Amino acid sequence: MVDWQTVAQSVAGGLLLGGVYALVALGLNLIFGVMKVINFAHGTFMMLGMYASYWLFTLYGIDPYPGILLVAPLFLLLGVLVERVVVSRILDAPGHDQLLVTLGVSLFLQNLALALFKADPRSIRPLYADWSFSVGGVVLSAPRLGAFLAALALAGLFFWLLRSTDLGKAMRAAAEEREGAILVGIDVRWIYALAFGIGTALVAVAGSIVLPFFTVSPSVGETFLLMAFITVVLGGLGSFPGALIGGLLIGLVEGLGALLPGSLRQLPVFILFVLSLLVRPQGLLGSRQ
Amino acid sequence: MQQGYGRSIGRRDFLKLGLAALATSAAACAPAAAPAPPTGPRVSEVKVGSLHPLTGTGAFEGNLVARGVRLRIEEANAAGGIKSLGGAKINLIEADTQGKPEVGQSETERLIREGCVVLMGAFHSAVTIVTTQVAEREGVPFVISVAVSDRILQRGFKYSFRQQPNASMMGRLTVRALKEVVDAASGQYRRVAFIHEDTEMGQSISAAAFSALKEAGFEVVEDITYNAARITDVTPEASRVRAANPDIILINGYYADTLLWVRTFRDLRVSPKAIVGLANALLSNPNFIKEEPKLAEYMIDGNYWWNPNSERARRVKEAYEKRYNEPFTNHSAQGYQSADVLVDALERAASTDRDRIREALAKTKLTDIIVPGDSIEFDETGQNKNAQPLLLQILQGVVTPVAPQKYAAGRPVFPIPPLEERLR
Repeated sequence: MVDWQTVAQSVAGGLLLGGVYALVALGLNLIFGVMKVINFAHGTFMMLGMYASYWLFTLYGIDPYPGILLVAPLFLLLGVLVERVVVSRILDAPGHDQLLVTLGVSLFLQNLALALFKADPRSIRPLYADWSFSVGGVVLSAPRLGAFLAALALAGLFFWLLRSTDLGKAMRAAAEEREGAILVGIDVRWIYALAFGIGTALVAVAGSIVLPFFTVSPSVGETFLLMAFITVVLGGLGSFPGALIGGLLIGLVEGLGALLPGSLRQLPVFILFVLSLLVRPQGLLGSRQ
Repeated sequence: MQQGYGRSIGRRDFLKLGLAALATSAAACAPAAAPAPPTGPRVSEVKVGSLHPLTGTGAFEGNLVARGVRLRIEEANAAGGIKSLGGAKINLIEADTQGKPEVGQSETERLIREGCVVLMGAFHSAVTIVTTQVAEREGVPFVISVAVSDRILQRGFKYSFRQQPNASMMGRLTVRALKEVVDAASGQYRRVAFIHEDTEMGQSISAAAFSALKEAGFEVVEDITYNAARITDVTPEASRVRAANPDIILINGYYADTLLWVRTFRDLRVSPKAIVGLANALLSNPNFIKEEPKLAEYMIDGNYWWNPNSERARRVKEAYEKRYNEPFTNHSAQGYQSADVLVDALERAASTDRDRIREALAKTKLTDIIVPGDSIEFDETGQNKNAQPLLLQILQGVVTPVAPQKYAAGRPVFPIPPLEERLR
């Protein structure tokens, strides 16, 4: 009963969404890779990024895309601040303590958003909201395509930063061997704060670019966070290309899963996830510890 | 193994902690419970509990219902309280279910512990199933504000009452009204794509709607179930609908997810003869008209509503909009009407005894009501026999009841103009 066009549309829809999953996962993975902290406030920062873009658009008419230039530095700062004030204090604490602290940050911010913005679902309607392109019968909506391209571009920028700049090298060094990094004169505290800030900025921007097609409410972060966690583990803990490929793969599988009857659309994702844990527990591109 | 620092987190820990946190994340969102003031046996106040999702999934609608409840209670208190109890004031204690059955359960238990003699709630059917069960066990009357599932009242409960239509009434009467509209337009548009969310509400409404559709001679050409809380993209499902080429798209869902559907249909250039909601939280919501005026125009929704011919409904609408500075919606109307049932029962019970209140609720016969129907009267299961959903259409930016005829305030437009024309 399912014709090729529907399948093609599902693949396209899934891949476009996968780009966003990847961007969310990249930030999470950066923070984990460098600091070995699981950041449960990650989805919450995405929600705040969406609200920031929402208000920029609603109050000042600034579109979410150029708005990135404001949102990214703002959340970089916010991330650094949260790291210095809260997260840096628990770096050496056991995993569950860290979890409680980042979860606490998340709950605080979520309830703050609830108090400030109420629970009303809000969305914006930019000029290009209903533009779409048809490629061989497959319709790509402009906001989703834009989000996908922006996510890829940002991932590229991020890879470049990590590979080719001193900061990136320092981050990778701190991630791989903290003591060694300290010995060669890298200020690891500063690197940690920056890693947290960059991870936060990445996810906030992910929020900005989904806003043209997604509704924001204080609990929206949880919707994406689960997928981001799966992406990170599937792709390989600490592996950045793994997060990118994992995100695209999960989007793709979820898109195809939508062809299943009932609400089984996420079932194949979890099957894939369990299989990968059995067959390749270090993740697709993760290295064995 | 990680060297040196002794705080490596392996994949296993990552997963373990991750799942633990996801499970607890929203559970910890609950606002701290206000400590109960000490009370003696004197009747200076009647404690009434209101349970709604004030945070989390469904918080938007849950707050609307809760505000409707609050408005009616405030009115009752301002008008001198419960007169048969010597003017005792109603002390409304509001609790947050977060849309989760387990939270609903513990909050119900808390409200009863704090001395509430009658409860209201709880918006989500899946939550209400549990809260009514706790109330039944404890012998506390429960007035359902909003919660549509038939199953809630099919368990032989003595303490639960519902004035709004249940799911099968909602499905059956909406399809009947829709048939009225389709028949009036030559009746040839019979192919329906049916989309519904997969919790208790969607399951129970869709079951009733399915048989009603068949009975009314509609053909379901595509049937899609989805998870409203998790969905981030419906492109694949929407292209399935497009491939089925239906005349009518019937959607049962909440606000954000239905918006996703409607926008995706626009993107995929799906142009049916009508998009019809079934107890849909978006398609008759004034907020939708504000956000997507062109897309909202001509949308149809079968939903509970207030009676456009009721003088009292007009007054309540005005009072609500003045009190909360936001448009009056059907959710608030249901909250208000349910609280009205409760106030009336308290007045007649002339007691804070739970069984006396239950007796009074069972004997309810309210005629000055703001919802459609001649009166509110409960059958032996506690369901209002006369509950009636309306078919609403957004016409020139106003949600207008268009069927059944008796409650219509405007003429339905069907088939609706093609998508290109609507977006122009």
